[in-house]
Amino acid sequence: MSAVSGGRPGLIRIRGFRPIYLAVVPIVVVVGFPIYWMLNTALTSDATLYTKAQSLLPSFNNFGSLGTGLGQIPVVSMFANSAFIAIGTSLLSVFLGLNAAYALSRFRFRGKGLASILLFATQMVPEGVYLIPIYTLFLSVGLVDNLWGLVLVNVSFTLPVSTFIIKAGIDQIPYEIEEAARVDNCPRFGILMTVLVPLILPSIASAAVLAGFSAWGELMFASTFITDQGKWPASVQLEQLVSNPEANIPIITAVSLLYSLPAIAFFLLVQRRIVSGLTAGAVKG
Amino acid sequence: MEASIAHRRRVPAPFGGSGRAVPEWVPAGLFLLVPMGFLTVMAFLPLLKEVWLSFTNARLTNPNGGAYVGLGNYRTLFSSGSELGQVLRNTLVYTLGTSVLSLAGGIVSAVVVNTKFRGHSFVRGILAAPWAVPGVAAALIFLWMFNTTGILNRILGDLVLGPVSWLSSPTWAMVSVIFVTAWQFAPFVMLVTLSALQSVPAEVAEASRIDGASTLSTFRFVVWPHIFPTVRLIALLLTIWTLRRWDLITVLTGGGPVGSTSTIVVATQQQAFTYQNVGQGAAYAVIGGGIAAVLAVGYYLLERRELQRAGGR
Repeated sequence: MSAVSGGRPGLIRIRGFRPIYLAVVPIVVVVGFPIYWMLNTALTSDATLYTKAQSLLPSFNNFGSLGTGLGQIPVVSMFANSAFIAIGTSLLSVFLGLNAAYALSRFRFRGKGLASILLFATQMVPEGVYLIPIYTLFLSVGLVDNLWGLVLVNVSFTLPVSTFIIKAGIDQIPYEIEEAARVDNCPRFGILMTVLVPLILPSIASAAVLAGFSAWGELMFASTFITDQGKWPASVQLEQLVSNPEANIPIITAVSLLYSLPAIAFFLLVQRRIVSGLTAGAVKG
Repeated sequence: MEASIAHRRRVPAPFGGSGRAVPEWVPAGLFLLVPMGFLTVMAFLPLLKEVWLSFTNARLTNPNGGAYVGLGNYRTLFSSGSELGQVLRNTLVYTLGTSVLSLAGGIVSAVVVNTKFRGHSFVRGILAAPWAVPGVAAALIFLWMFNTTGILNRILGDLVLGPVSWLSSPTWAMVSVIFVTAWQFAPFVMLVTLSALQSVPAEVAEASRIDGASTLSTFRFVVWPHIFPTVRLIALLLTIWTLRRWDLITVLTGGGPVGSTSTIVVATQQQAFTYQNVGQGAAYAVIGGGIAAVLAVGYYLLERRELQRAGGR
């Protein structure tokens, strides 16, 4: 690339004609096309999908059939179920993570290294390893086919990351801030909740989004544990829809799009924090 | 357990309150009780249970009623005619392929997006988005694009390759699942690399250019050494993430055709829940867990060395 250099903050600066676009355009096309194609397919009529080549430009004439098709799928309940799992996972993961992070950040005790390593280790084990034993555990306590069960499963995967992200946040807060409250004999849990939490809200938010995010998309446990169709989250519903040989592709892609958009929006909103949080989570073992 | 020393500073017993010293492990233990208790029930004990199950002939219909069969399940796995060899080979190809492709795509994207051009933050948004797409949704859109009459064959197939049966030829199926997985992971590589790139001191890069270095050699000798530790870390993280990935393969190919995309997690789930052979599935899981453990230890050692080099935390 004949990039003309001479930059200040940026690494490479280009003036005049911008050959950088020769790199940008193909990358954007490869990466962005599938998302565009999701939209395009959702707007294509099912009737003509196999009979003529799908137009490269979206048409806006098929909202009628799209609406009818969506009406035949429990769109509301599947997204409600996904949201329940995501929000439940978020809240529980952040609450438990907050406690663990406080202990790991503010105290020095024997076994602290072990606790960190155990947390780190659960992050590394493939989820599939837990599938069978958690299934048997849930069988004995009646949590199979139960959305709360899925919340618990998801929390067990997100808790370590939540803990590390929140711990990185607490580490930044000088201890002196708590000291004043300590002098007033405020209990530690109270200090954590009333003094620290407001100060580390950004870390908490990124931990919450990340946890909710992974629960929103989770498929393996949901599809293995949930048999009652009314309890299917969007991931399972979509998997079932597509396994039907007469699957209505535009409807499926429309649902996929609806399913992806909130996640994308959330992600872009807190992108920077999430990335630094995730690396902190992955890195601070 | 001696009297407490405040974390990172030597203030006398900050948590002991006034005078009377409560050892620090007491409150710390209270705070850790629920989270660690939770993980014990949901992760540590299940892990042990899984190892135990791999030594039994438990069936899905009565998963707790299996009888001890010693190494029977492992013997089956390592006997000739077992799928294990293929599964391990698939896992290796899938993990390596996805990691390499995600790294390459992510680093190139990061370098490109790090350049100032009009609309670069918009471009960054587009390039970051696939990471947020739920796995099933990503798989579904690619399922449609990979269709024999799909857009990919219309564009690529007719021009270059002739119609390709992306998901029903063993070779192309693996290529396809690798591509989709990399499509999801590359944005993460890009974002992390981007923040590493932005921490390259501008003066250093500039000095190298003033000394007459070309853009390429500035990258090679100044930028790359700076971002390499980050890249190496993401590389390990990626292998672990890819090893765990289940949703994309399941929706795209279900592990087929003829087992050509069945990785260790796919095989685990299939053995236990499709063939209802819980003990055999558990043996697969233990092998998968072992591979992850090796990677995790490598990652941990690397990480600790990095931390020490950076002067501790």
